[in-house]
Amino acid sequence: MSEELLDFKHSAALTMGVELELQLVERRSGDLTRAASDLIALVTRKPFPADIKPEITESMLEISTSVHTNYAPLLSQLLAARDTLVRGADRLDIEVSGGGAHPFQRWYDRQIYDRPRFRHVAGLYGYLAKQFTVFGQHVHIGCEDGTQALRLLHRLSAYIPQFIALAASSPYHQGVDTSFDCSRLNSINAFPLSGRAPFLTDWAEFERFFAKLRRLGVVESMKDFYWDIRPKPEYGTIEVRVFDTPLTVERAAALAGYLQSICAMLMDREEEFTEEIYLAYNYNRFQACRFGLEGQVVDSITGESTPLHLAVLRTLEACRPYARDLDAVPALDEIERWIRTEGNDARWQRETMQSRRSLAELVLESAERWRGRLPVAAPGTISTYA
Amino acid sequence: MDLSFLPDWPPLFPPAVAVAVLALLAAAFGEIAARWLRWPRLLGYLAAGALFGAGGYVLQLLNLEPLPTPTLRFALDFAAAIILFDLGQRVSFGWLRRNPALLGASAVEAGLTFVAVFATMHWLDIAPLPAALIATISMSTSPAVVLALTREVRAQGQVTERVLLLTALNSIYAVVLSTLLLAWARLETRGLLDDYLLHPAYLIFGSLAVAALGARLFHLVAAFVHHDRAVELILMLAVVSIVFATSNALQLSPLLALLACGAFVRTLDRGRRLARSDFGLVSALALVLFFALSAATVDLGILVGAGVPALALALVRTVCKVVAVGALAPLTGIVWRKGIYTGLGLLPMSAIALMLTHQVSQLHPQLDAEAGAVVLANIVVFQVVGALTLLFALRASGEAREAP
Repeated sequence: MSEELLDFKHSAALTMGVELELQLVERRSGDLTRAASDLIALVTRKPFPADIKPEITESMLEISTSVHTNYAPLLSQLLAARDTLVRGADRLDIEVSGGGAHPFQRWYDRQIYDRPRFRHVAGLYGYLAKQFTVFGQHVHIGCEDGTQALRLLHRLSAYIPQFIALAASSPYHQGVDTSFDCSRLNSINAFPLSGRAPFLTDWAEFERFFAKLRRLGVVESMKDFYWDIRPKPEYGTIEVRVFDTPLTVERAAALAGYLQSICAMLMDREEEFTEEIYLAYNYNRFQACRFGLEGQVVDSITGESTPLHLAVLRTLEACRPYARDLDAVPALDEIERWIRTEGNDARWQRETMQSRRSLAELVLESAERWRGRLPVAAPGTISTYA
Repeated sequence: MDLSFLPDWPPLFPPAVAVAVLALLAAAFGEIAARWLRWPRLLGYLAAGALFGAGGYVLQLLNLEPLPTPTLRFALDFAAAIILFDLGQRVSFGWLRRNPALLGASAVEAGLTFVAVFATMHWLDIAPLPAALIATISMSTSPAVVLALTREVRAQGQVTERVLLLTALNSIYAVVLSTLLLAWARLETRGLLDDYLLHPAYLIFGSLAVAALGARLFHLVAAFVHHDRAVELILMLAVVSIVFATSNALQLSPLLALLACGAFVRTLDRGRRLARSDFGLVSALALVLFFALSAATVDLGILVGAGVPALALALVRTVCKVVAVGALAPLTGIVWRKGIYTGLGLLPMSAIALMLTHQVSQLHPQLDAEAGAVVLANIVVFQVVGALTLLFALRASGEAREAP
């Protein structure tokens, strides 16, 4: 094992990139199907409008955008990638869908994608690896150096509950309503190195921490950390990993724009902080997962308790000036619209389930939504089979 | 001592017990095939049937009366009906609209097979009509083998879906074309031109109409039932029986009617009510009986006399299917390697091909003599070899999800 240091690559501050883990489902039953290698082979015959790669099982793939400075081009790249994927999926008679978890797949049915790293993970974690068939959105934010990255990472932790609640799209898992808006993070909590990153604020310190763990044989690379936010030194970014994959690329892009605006605000208003900021972290995180935008979060410093939807509205107001500089205002408007009208995807999923009464239907409706065809659910239209 | 209350020894059982014994034997042999040899269970069913059928020795040993041939034929036909319905509702015909190249590939695959086999048979001095009959039947893939095997290994993926779709399509071609041949044969003997159009038209549209009515009936009743599996299975059996009996009574094609009925049932299922229901249980039962009974009725001695034409048919059919599907694979959206696997998956033949032969030969016994032996030999061989190539294809493409 080499002992080289983790060089933090310099990036332009506030650049961003999005990774989306997507579900591949059977058109017939809505169950997960194995199609990743076939779909990737098909859509990469011509240059694919984004980066695309297999994930741990054949029912999952990941698309990632290039590095963007603004929301609009990020959205158009995601739209182009989506359209290409949908066309390819049609030729293979499958559907692509967002959502943080598949509502009823059985973890023991999953097959591990044939790659050394995935086989290693599967061997190490056993059934956890297959249960790990959950789907997240990861957003990278560029930082100039490692210390800036770590400071941003810790201060961003206060907004993690907002991100969880806004992106939550995994209310159904393994065939049941979990009562959580985001059940996906519960699956991730099972991994030994999940949760929040340790409180280290200086890159040299972080490098020593990492070297120690590696000497102990606890980790081999940064990939072994499943933290909510983790530094990605080889990209020069921090990576926010608590988002469920939303049901549409529009939502994915809006979340990235919102995150970028918050980061701009935090970088502009430097202030000192201590580990105190994490006092209520796990409590708030649970509230967001369980109750979504209705969850109550407590400020670790002031002790003030706020419902999450209000917290989002306040943050939107606070970071709006920064969004203007970044051309991210449409992203913020979109988020405000969710808060004021539709709510998060978990709400749409529950409403759809109520009217369709079948998890298979829910999956296939979600796939329609991913295509951009079903803008909103019609709440209260309880239709029966006839 | 008066022992007259005891039965005669050995006691005499009704023929139905023969079926029960065959089913037990098939279950045991299927288990042996699966567990010890890691072979498909259906090979065990076939072996049990063959053992049972061979000279009727087992029957004599057990002092059982052999089943009367009409009963046997009916059981076989009905099992085939269930299997075709199952295939129809399993396959995604809408896929052809989204990927028309697949329909093209299917047409080329079947067309090439027909032309090449016909030419070969003609070259081997077989008369045009029997040669065309052989070519027609060789287009088809066995729905029974394909369904049984993909279910058994819980196959999932492109090769699986494509094998199922192409199987349904080439079964349709074979059924339709054999009805056309039937008309052609009548034309030769009676010389009425409108027969050429009228009879096939009646067969095809009549069968489709019966299928559509059956599917409507299915959904009409299903609307009352709230996802009760048992009731759904009963409903399915009832609809299959009705469509089967109606199409027989109206002298339509039960094979086409049942396949179409399955497809309509799925198409009409707007609320995707059946998305999670699975007819696999009934179908599995039908498959066991189907394989065991069909093997019990086949005389293996046919292999000895099959000769050059049968061998030529086997070769030409295999090459056509594998090469056509493999070569066209990239146009349909998968790599050619998976196309080859798909082609290998299309090799199984089974008694459904045989039923097509019977359909024609009932009217033209002399055709059976010429074409029957060639086709039958291939059915016997490719029921086994085709199952193994399909299993190989599913395993090699990574689509089989067998327990390790």
